[in-house]
Amino acid sequence: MKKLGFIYLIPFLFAIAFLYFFNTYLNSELFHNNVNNNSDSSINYIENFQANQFYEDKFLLNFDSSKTIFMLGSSELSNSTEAIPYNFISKNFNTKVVGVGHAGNQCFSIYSQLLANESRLKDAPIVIILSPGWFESKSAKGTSSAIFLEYNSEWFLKTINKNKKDTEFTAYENKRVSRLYNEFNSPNLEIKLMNFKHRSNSSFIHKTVFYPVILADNILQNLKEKITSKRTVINSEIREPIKLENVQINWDSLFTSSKEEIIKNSNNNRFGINNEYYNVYIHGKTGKVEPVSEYFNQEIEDFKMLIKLLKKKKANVCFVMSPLNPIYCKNLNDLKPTINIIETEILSNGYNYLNLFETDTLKYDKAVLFDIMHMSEYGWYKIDKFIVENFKLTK
Amino acid sequence: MLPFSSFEFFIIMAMFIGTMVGAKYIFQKNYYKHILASLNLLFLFVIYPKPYHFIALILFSFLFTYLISDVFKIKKKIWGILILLLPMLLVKFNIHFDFYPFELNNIISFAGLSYASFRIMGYYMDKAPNEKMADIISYTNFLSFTPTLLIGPIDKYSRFKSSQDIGFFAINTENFILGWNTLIKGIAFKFIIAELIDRYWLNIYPDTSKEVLHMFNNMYSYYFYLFFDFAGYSFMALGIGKMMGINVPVNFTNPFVAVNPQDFWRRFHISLGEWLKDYFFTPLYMFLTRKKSLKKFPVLRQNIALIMTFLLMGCWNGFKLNYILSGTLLGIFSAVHNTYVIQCKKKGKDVFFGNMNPIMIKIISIILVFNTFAFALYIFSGKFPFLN
Repeated sequence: MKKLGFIYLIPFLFAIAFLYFFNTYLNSELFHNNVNNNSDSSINYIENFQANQFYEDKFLLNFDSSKTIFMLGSSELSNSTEAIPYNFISKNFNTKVVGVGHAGNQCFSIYSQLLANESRLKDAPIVIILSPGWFESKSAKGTSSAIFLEYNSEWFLKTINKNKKDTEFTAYENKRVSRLYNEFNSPNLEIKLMNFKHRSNSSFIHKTVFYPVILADNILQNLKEKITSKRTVINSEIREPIKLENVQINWDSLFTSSKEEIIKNSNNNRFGINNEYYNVYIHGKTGKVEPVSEYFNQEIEDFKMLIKLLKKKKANVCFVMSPLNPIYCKNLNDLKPTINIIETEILSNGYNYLNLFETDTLKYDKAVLFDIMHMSEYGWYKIDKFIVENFKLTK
Repeated sequence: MLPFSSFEFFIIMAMFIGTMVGAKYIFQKNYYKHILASLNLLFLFVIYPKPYHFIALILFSFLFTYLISDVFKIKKKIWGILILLLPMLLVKFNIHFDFYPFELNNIISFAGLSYASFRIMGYYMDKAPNEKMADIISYTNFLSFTPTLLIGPIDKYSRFKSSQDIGFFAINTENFILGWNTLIKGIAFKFIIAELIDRYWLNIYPDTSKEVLHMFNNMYSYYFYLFFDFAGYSFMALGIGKMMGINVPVNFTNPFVAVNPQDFWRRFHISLGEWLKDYFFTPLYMFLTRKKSLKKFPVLRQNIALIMTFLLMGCWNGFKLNYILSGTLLGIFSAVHNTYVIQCKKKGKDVFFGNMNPIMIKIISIILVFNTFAFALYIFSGKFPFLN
């Protein structure tokens, strides 16, 4: 007993005493609030929130005095050109467009970002650039865990965990996080809570087993919140409608000049692909899409939930389906049923939709893409026009 | 939640240990294996990510072991091995079917499959033709004992069963303290030392760097990281096992002071070394001994069996160049040492060190083994830049 006390009890008491006296010092050393306020209100493009945490506060709000439209999407947004809406519209109108996303930012990642900011969703002007690539091959498995974390910080996830009113949406979030759970390396407490909450709903036994675990995580999270975060809930603001502006854009002239430029630079191949890109990557090769049936297609399920969330929260949203090059992708027609499902979902919910996806090689406008899947200047001008008309920026 | 993946696992384990202790006072000496099976199944069904996969594997292996050995009495063990390893082989070969758009791996693979397959094979190989099948409860406990579910050590059924048969008697203050100490050691290894190495040493230089000093740094840091991470897991499993009344075999005993390859495998991942020796090296060596063409070459037979054994170990991790090459290298180390030992015996003197001071021999041997194994494991890690 003496040995027991000497080996275990004294060190235990010593540890308690150490933690008690050095509590404040240890906390300040170990936990930092990394979020600073070096935000630049003139920024038009946010690659992700992980490297730009200070913009999380402004997501779906007006970035500066001008009204802000948020354009969410994946790899298309990474290539900043003059015609891309976050440059073109922001330059020509008082209304600003902010792009959020890079490759892999698919439906579930967007769903989660929007659910975290659900209080800001009502009338929020949003454009979602869908890519056919999300719904085929391995991408059809849905957003990857790494990408999910790039856009959904602990703060965003905490807001979802605290959301008690949107049970259907939070349950879906929990289910999806639970499916990804084993891919997360050292998941944060919010991710753990989502997984455990989802698992605990399976039966009374699950609830009982997970009860102490959820309780412990909640206690830890509350402690952590006290130590680290100055940020509380995500606030909404009274949103004023986007104003009509007295701006004249000669779309026909823009279309003609940009199309001529694209055709001039893609004349060494029959695909309509930029010459340089063709020489480096294509060399006459063709590709194939790998359609995934709706039954196995996680991305379609995520998309349907995204639409449901946007509808419930009355967001002012419109969609663009970007094209794939049908001359390069030999079996693009096989992807048509999947794209039709997406289209039906959008239109049946009354949202405006610009579909640039074309499987007919004769009807396909070769100038719309720069390579096999990314928009050319001409393609972006088409989207600019769609956004301007959808949000009624000008007459 | 996977075993040892987060602190919540330890909360669950505390509940399990509490239940076992409580059960001891309620049931005295009965129902130990039943309570243990209930907890193991509870973990599988409620907490484990793919519960039905594991249960299916238990039932599949039990049924097929029974059919192969008791009903059809197939004498050639190789057929039984292939059938019992089928789930693992399907995962390793990355098969793709038309009805499913992704790789089959997405459906059938699950954490712990490899270790369970090792245990299944061990049981099948050990089972004598007329020996009665294990009772399903003990067999379930053997394969699904929560602390060893994910990453071993690779136990033997007979050893596990004898430990299980001690029952509630093994749950006592002495074992609890022993288990607690081992658990703390494991936690310190895995969550403090391995974590510190991972954060502050392992990634100082990029894996792609071909500068000699960078490569040495990456080699040693990975070796230490692998040891502390893996040994940490094993000690935690051992500690919790002890507190629940099961003796889990020791898997690591300071491999850094090994003096030869044989000694190394008695210290590093001991259960894997023993498994390979019992179920692959020995049968293979016996098979080669029966070959007429090799009858006159006993050393060659041993060396072929050694290299093949370690090659198998490499391939078990996956059919990738780094695994195959590191397995071959480990096999060559053992074959070289084996030849050296035989030559020393034959000539009655140390053919390499001669009359050197034994302490010096030991120091040189430790340095040699430490560096050669660090190099083989560096290749194994996939970080060796000349293979990428």
